[in-house]
Amino acid sequence: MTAPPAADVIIVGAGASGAAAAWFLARRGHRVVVLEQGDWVRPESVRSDRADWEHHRLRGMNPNPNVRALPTDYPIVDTDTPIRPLLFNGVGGSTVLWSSHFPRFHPMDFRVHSDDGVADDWPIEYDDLLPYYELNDRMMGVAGLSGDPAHPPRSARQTPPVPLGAGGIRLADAFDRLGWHWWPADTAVNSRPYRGRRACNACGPCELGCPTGAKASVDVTYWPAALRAGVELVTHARVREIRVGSDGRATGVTFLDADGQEQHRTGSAVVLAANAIGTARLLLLSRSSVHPDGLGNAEGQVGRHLMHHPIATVTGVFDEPLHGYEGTTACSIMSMEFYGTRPGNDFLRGYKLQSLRSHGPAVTASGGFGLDVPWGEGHHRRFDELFARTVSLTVTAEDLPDPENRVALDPDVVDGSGIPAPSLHYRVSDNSRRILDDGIARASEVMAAAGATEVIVSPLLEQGGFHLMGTTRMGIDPERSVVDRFGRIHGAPNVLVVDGGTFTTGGAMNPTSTLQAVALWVADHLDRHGPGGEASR
Amino acid sequence: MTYFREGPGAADAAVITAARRLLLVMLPGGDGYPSADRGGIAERLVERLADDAQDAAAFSRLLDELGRTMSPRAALTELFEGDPAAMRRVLQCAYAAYYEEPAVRAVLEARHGYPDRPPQPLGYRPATGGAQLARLEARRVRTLETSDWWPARFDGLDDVEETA
Repeated sequence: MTAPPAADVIIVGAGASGAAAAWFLARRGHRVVVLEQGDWVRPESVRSDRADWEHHRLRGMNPNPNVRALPTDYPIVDTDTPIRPLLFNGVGGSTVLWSSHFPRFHPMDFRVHSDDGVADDWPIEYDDLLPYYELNDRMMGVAGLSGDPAHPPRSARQTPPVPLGAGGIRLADAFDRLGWHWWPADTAVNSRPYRGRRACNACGPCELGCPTGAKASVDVTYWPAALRAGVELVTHARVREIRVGSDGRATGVTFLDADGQEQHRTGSAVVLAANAIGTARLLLLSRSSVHPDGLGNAEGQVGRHLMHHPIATVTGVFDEPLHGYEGTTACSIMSMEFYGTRPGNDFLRGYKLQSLRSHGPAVTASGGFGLDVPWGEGHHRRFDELFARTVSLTVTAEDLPDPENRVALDPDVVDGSGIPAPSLHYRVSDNSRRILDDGIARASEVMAAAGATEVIVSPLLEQGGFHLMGTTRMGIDPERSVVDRFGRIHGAPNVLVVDGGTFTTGGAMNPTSTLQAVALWVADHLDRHGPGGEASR
Repeated sequence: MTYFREGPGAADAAVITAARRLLLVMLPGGDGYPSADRGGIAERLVERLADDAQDAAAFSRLLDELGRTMSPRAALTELFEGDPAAMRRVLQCAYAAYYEEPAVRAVLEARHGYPDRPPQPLGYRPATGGAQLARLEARRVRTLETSDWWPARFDGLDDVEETA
């Protein structure tokens, strides 16, 4: 049997960052092979047109891989963390199930050490990423309204803001009464047709997958363009090792195919885009005589500095229907009023407030955003008080990096192929807790100003580990970081990371827009300078 | 004890009967809602439980308790207090089965205006917030032009026709 030809670039992971990097490099003429553990999720398989759609959301498409437990998933040991990991394995990665909130990091997010004397500055700045943010917006399609005074200027959004909905309107009016900032959230959903994709019809459960293609999951944005550009996509490819030569540089990868047979691909560069858990796991699995503790782990940094966005939810109950089951679940308006460090606070950094709509009946009954609906005699009365009558604000906290928060290899648990599973070890810091408590108080003020008859607080969203960052972080110092400013692993420069693991600090913004901009930045440098090329700064 | 036979969706009729007794306590009806022991809710619930190993295990624990206590309420209370994660799984399945029932959906539509249909293909038409958005006009700052950021090396890269 003839071995497949060597690739210029092998990319592990077909999600948000892998798809962006693959498209960019293929358009630049590189031979790109992408290995993806999962499969395509066909729009026709999304069940939002069936009566059992809520059951499917709670089970087969649950964002928690330990609950979903599909053959394409791997277990994640989460007994030592209060925040459960949420992700998806498939073409499109977690964007298949995401809520499409698409803010950019603020310039202050890249200079935390300079501003506050804690953590580290990123080795790149907002302005470095600006062209890539903009290019990415055009590829994805963003609904929103440019001109937000809380952010640097950006181009006109591709489509107008998604409808605010009755709950969003209530909150917007309340923010105005309080004199606090709000703005329509940038949302990666077509509010009008864009680039051959239909407009959103506000059906609600974005987290089930989008059957219309209005949601900008990368299986319908980047992937069609990437395949046309010649990218070879291999699904059901479970990568278990990055192979290296005697010089420590990568020569290719070993993976298990759909039949469980071991396969090898060779390439000049390996780009990791398997999220901050999967990428750290793969690096730790890639032990060799040259890298005995795992690839890129000579200083024991791989897997450390795991950051989430700890989230609290504050839900207002109103005495009139808000029909929150209508529209994009997590996207309507956002407030930057309490972003960043502010004098007088007993914590550093800050948080954003973001509106959430509500759910269908079964998810509402199951607890929705921190609701407490009893089973038994009181069920129906309480359900009636809450269903379609709530709107929520999330308090999304900036989580400062802590080396003790980390991804490791579990000594006992393995995936379906016998490969060690990752384990998470994480604590919510005192600083993050104080941020959340302040945010809860402020969000409660908003709800009061909006006329809520009852305010329900969920102090920490347990099923909230969807923003995975920091485990292969960027930095100048190889003793304190894993990759350099161009995503290249210290000591193995033809292995690059483009996912959220690269984040030096995590801001308080949903990370997808930024991690895709980083992926394009890394890909552009790889294109112009080749694997291991000298930094051009 | 094994309550679910081999194969997807397979369960003993006795399990359905037990499920009906438990559903009546979980969702007893009232306030205009039908009780959950009616219609096809129990069959729907058991079919789904059998399709998911973790759900089946959780419900099997509940059936063990029912066999021990002979009281649906006591069995549910025991699971609720002793294994909240298992109880959560059972409740999620029960609620999903219940709120699909046509008689229940009719109540939701009449009382809450929640249409008796799935979200797709018709979708919804939420309020746009036009007045609120209009108020932002006075606060808007500069918008970038493409020429502000587009490097020459991106020329031809982002081809609209190609991706359409």
